[in-house]
Amino acid sequence: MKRMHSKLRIDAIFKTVVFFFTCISVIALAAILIFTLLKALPLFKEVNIIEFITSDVWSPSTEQFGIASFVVASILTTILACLIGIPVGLYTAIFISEIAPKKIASFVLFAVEILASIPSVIYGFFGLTVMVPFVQKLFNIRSGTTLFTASLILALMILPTVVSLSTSALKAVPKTIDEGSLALGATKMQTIMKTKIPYAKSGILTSFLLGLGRALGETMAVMLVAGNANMMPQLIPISEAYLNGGRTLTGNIIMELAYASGTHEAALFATGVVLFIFVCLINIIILRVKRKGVAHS
Amino acid sequence: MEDIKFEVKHLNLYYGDFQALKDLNINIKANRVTALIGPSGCGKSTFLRTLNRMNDLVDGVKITGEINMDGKNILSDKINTIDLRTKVGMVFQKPNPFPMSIYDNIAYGPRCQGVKDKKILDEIVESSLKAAALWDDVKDRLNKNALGMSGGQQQRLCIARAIAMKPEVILMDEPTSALDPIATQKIEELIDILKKDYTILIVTHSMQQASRVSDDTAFFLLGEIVEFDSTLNIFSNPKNKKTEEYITGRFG
Repeated sequence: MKRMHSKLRIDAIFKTVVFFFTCISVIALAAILIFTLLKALPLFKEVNIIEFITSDVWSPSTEQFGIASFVVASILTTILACLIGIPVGLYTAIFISEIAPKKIASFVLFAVEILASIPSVIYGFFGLTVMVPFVQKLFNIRSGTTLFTASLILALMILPTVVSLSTSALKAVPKTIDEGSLALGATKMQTIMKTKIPYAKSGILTSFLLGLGRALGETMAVMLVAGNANMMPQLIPISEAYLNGGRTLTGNIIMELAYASGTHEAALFATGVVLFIFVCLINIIILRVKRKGVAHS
Repeated sequence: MEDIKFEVKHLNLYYGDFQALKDLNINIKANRVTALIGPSGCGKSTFLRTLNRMNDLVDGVKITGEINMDGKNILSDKINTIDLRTKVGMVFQKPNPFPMSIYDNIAYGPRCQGVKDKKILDEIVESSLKAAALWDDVKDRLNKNALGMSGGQQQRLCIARAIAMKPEVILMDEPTSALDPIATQKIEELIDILKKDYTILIVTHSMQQASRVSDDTAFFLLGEIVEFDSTLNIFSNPKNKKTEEYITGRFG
């Protein structure tokens, strides 16, 4: 009896410890959120929220705060990074999980996972010393620090996320599904494209969205190669937007936070809030995609 | 004399160093149901999977001997496994419909072979579902996801999917082990109808099932065929002592 009692007690203590540590992570998140919101709040005494988002005039010295050009630059780099990174990532995942011999597959996966652990400042440094001159020569433009260069670096940076999550999603497809398809006389390629990918759809989509989130939130590498020019990207023709420098939402915060104060500082925190809202939207979509995936399996 | 569909000669199969099938010699007759029985790990499923070359998917498998299907050795390197699998269909232990509509599940195989004509596909879907006694249950919801069906319906869908390829042979690997008794009964009735048109091999752990559905029975033990005869003889008058012990439930 006594022993039983002490076992129950250990169980209770364990539960408390788990609960305590869970609280720490939740509180940390809440603290960041509340802190950012509170710091952003003073801005909206000066500038109305619609103007803040839709105006492309950002001039702290004249107390004008509009982030539209940064929103556009962030969206442009994220879209192009995904257009490049997602197909490359998905096909790499297919290669790793379906086609490559075991040894080569684990080597490629290992290499891709190393990509994930390289600090972003190194990507930025690589971008600055290799990609920037390359882009400059390739298009014969005045400067290689462009939104295009930033998109290329971001494409590289989202690869590990897309590859490793899509690979696990494909590997998690039950063998019976493969066999069912092959037994009907389907080729391996037909089986992968028509059966396995649809089956792994929710995991693969999640990997895309997480990659998208990473591209949107990346700061250091983008700042080093994007030029950070405070101007609205010219959207027509689109090459004009990509072959010029631009400043993303993250870039805006890091460029000015060190010396900002007062309303200016609040405007930078508000930029952070906008970024946070974007990331939340992506996460809500991820949750929905996952729930759908669960419902069908 | 009945036609012989598969003539198996000196078939050996190794997984690495482990020999899973030992010198099998057996003639499977066409348009009959042949049951493969025996305790777990005796090689009956492995044997079944040699008939449509599904063992090719396993790493480190080595096969020797011959399996002549209508006189052609299907173990030969020259055999196109894709062609073979369109002629030798398979139904698995666990129903494995694809995550798509009922219609698309049936049309999957023909589409993989390049059939695109909607009319032809419609016909194939209807006739296959009718043949699997599923048409009346699902004709109004062909565009619904197949994963929403009951287990028994899913398994009949898998049979319909195999039929859609107009195969000559259907291999069934414990097709009812995941189903309840009523769904099992329906599948067994279906097998009885299908044997007119197809050669059927069925792996089963249920003695009752083997005796109910099959015409011939092969008893496997430790990778060997201990006894092969008409089901009637195997169950009423087994010649081998091991067979008798197994079918009367004394081991296995």
